[in-house]
Amino acid sequence: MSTLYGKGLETALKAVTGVAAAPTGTLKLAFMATSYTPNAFTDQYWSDVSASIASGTTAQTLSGAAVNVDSGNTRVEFDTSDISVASQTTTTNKYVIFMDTGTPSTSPLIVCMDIAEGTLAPIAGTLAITVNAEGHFAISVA
Amino acid sequence: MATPVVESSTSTNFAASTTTTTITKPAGLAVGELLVAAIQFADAGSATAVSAPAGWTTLETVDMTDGLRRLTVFYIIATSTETAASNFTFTASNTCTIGGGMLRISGVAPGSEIQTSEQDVFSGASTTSISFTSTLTPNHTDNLILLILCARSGTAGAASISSYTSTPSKTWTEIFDIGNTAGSDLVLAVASATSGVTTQITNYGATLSLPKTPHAGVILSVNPPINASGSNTALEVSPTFFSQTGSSGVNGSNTLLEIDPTLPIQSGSATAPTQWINEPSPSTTWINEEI
Repeated sequence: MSTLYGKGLETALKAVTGVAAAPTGTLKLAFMATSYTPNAFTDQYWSDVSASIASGTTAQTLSGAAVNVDSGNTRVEFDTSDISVASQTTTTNKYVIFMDTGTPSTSPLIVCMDIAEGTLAPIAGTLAITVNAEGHFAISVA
Repeated sequence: MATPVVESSTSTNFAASTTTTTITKPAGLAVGELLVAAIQFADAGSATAVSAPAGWTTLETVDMTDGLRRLTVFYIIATSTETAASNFTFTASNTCTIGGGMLRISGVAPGSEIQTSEQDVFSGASTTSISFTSTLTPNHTDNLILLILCARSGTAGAASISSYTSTPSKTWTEIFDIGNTAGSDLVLAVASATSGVTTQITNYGATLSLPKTPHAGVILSVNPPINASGSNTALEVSPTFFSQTGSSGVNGSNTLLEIDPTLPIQSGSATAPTQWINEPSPSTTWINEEI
C-alpha cells in the first residue's frame, strides 16, 4: 500500500515550524523489490531500506519537483517530472522517493508509492513511470 | 519491442572419425548479436564431451546414450573477437562422427538474451515422428522460439527433418538441416518462430524423412529487450485535527469583595517640644498725664 513515511513528514513539519533545519540534497527515486513492505514509522532514512532496492537498479535523480496548492480540492500536492531509465533488467512494483543528503543514514524517506499497473519486469529495456496528473501524493487541508 | 531476428546461418555436415567440426562465421555478424551453435556427435568409443571456443556458454548437453552420442547447444554474445573470426571450431574429446550449425540472431536483450531452454530425448523404436512434451512458457509475445532437433541410426540413409509443429501452433521457419551417411547417419535441423503468445508450449516436434532412433530435442526462448512502463495512483492523506480549548473576554457581574484589612503595628517616634516658660510680666501702673 502506498505509504507516506511518518518520519519524513516529521522532518518536513520540523522544518516549517523552525524546530529543526530542513535537510538539503538531491531528490531521488528508487525502484524497490517486490518483497519490500514499507513501515511508516520504522523506515526513516534511505539506509533503512536501501538493501531492498530492486535488483539491477540504482536510485535516479528526480527533476521538476513542485509543491502545488490545489484549492479546488482543498489539498496540497507533491509532483515531479516523469521518470524513465533505459536498459533495465529487473522486477519491481513500487518506488520510494527520498532526499539524498549524500549520506544514506541521514537521507530522509518521503513516500513509498505502489505502481498502479502492478509488477513491471523489463528485460534490457526501458523502465518508466508516468506520474499521476495530480502528482505522487497530496495532503488534504480539510 | 520486436522479436529477435535470425539474420543468417551456417552449417557443416557430419564427418566421421574426427574430433573437430569447424563452422563458418554467419555472414554480417555484429557485436552484440547472439550466436547459437548446435553440435551433434555420435559413434564415440567412450563417453565424449564437446567443447566450444573460448567465451561460449554451454546451454544444453543432451545425452542420447551414455555420452557416446550427444547434442550440445552453445551460445555467445558476439564481441569484436567473434566478429573478427572467420570460423569457429568445436572439439570432441574422442574420435567420433560430428557436425553442426550456427545461427546469428539480432535484436536480443543484452545480458538476458536466453529466457529459458529445455532438452528432451526419445529412445523408443525407430520412427519418423519427432515429438516431445514441453513446459516452456515464453515470458513475452515477442520472444523468438528455436527448435533444435536431431536423430541418428534407424533406417540407413541420409535423412532430413521437416514439418515442424508445436502446441500452440506457430509458423515455423527452418534455418538449416544437415544429414548424411557419415558414421551412423546423423541428421540435425533448427527451426524458429515468433512466440506470439505467452501460453506454455506443451508439445513440439517434426517429421523425419526416414525412421530413426534415438531422437533429441532442445527448445529455447530468446528475449528481445522488453520495456516496462507504469504510473501511480496519487496518494491522498487527510490531517487529523485535535479539539482545542480556548477562552475570550465576557461581560459579567461581580460580587463585592470584602477584605479585612491587615493593620500592621506601626513603630513611631516623636520629638518632645521645648517648653517655653513665660517669665512673669512686670506689673506697671500707668498714670495718665494731663495735657
